[in-house]
Amino acid sequence: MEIAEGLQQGNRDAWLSLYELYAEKLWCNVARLMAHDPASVADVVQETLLSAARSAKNFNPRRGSLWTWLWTIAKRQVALHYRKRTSKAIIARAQQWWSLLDGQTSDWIGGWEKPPAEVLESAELATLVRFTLTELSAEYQTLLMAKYVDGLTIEDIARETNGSSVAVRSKLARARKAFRLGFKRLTHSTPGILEMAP
Amino acid sequence: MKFNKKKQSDDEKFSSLLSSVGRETVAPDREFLNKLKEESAKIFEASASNGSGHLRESINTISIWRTIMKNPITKIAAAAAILIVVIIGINQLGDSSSVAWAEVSQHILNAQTAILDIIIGDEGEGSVVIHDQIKGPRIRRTMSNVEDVVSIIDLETSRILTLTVSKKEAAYIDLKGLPSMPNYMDTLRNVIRELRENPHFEVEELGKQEIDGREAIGFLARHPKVELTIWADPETALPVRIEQVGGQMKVICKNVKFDVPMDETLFSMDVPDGYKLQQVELDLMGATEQDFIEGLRIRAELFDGEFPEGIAVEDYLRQAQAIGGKLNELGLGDEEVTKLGMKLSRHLLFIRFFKGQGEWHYVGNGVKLGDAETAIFWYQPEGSETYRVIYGDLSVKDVSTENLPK
Repeated sequence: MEIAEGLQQGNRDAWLSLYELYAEKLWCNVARLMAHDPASVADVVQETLLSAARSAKNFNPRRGSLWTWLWTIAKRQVALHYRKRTSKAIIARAQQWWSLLDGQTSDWIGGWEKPPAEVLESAELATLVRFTLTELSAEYQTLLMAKYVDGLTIEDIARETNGSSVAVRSKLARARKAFRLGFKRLTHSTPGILEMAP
Repeated sequence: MKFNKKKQSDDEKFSSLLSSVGRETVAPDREFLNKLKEESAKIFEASASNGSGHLRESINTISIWRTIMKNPITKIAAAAAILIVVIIGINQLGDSSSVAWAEVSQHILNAQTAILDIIIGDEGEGSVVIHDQIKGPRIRRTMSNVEDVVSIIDLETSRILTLTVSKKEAAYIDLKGLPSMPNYMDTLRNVIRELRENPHFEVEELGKQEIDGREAIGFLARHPKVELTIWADPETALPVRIEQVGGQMKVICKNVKFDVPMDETLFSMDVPDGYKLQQVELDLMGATEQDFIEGLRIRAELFDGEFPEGIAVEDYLRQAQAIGGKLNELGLGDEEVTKLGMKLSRHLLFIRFFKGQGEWHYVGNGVKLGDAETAIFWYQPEGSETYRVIYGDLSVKDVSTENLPK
């Protein structure tokens, strides 16, 4: 709350505090969505932080946490970057790779089986996951990455987002559902993806 | 490939899936983040103290030129090219007997200083906004797409002091060969005086409208060479927006404020303490047809051999980001990128200070470089009875009026 008030008052130290808290975290999350492209990560991080600096005075804590606000700006920049720069060929290649996995992939998404390590570690799967994530809302992105990439507990996420554990669980379930739908749209997968209970 | 039949929970499944984006990511560049920290703090402070204005405009345009600007010299050359082409020259007009018009124009005549935002071409998302503070012959200029660069332009000496705030770098740019650039405020005054002296000048009242979020009264001044629309505050008659369409270029001046007190130091041509100085001389002497053609070639080669959609200044501004990206992809050395930047500047200057008779014509959109059959550009040089026609293979022919492309 202290930082939020400082931002509204145009206090430079408040901005620097926000920067210290979130700049590296922002970089890490952007990097997860931008694959191995340092220049693009730097571009998106810069655009996000400068855009945030321009609008920070109007930050309203009642609309969400500082991190959610910052990530909302980042999400827009990432999506913009994806549309402009990401080669359709890379995504098409990943889609083709997925389709060549036959029915086993839909079994995995729709059922309970664990896929082999080579599938999980493939660059193509990472491309499909990245692209699906970029199409989700900023809130769903932060929740999914906090829980499943950073490994935070529900309670940690609740603290970070100024929400309750129940609310986080509920939103996380919706985020998973949205992810599955997006992933299905991208891969034209069999209906198995929809059959998974969130 | 066999799937493990072990049951996976929803959480396990998502951890498996999403872990794929967490592997081998680019580690934070701390040096970059440290530099950005200071830069962002300055922008935060400026925005916090200055609520609205051009700083807000740049969300979609800040990356324009970033790639081309990794080399400081190129950056300065590129920025200077844009600075130069957007220096406004408002041409001669006619006169009006309208009392309200007289009142509006009197403010321009009397103004000692001005602050305004300039947009070349039609206003829209992604438009580059040039923010000017004007005092006498000097302009302090920032652009929404190169936010950390401040330029002081001295029209009397044709010199620019460019300051890259984040890097504390300064450069003097001597503009050799530029067409004469009159004192901006004097230019505006000359326009008004010519209006008053010309008996054929007509002004049309456009009534009241909401302009840039406020009520304003409009006047449209017509002249064979230019159309000038001025929107003014209906209470004070102070101009708030000026739109000028002359030749083949549209210039919008918005958020206009006259006689705002501004400190002399803002317009100082001295290098601030702590700045590293570079000296750059841009030879812009007489951008020629050959310079223009060379720019066409570069622009086509950058984009799979296809000529650009348009070649007007506003088209170039819109394409600037893509051009920067393409230059970056080429992986050229600093010197080569600088040379390309200069060539593109001269290409742009040919159009900005077009010297031919009448208008130029461009129909190259979608034409492939090397197409010897298709004309892409033609114009009539000053004093010539024939036209110069440039084809897709960049050959040039002299063509009579009756044989011009249809």
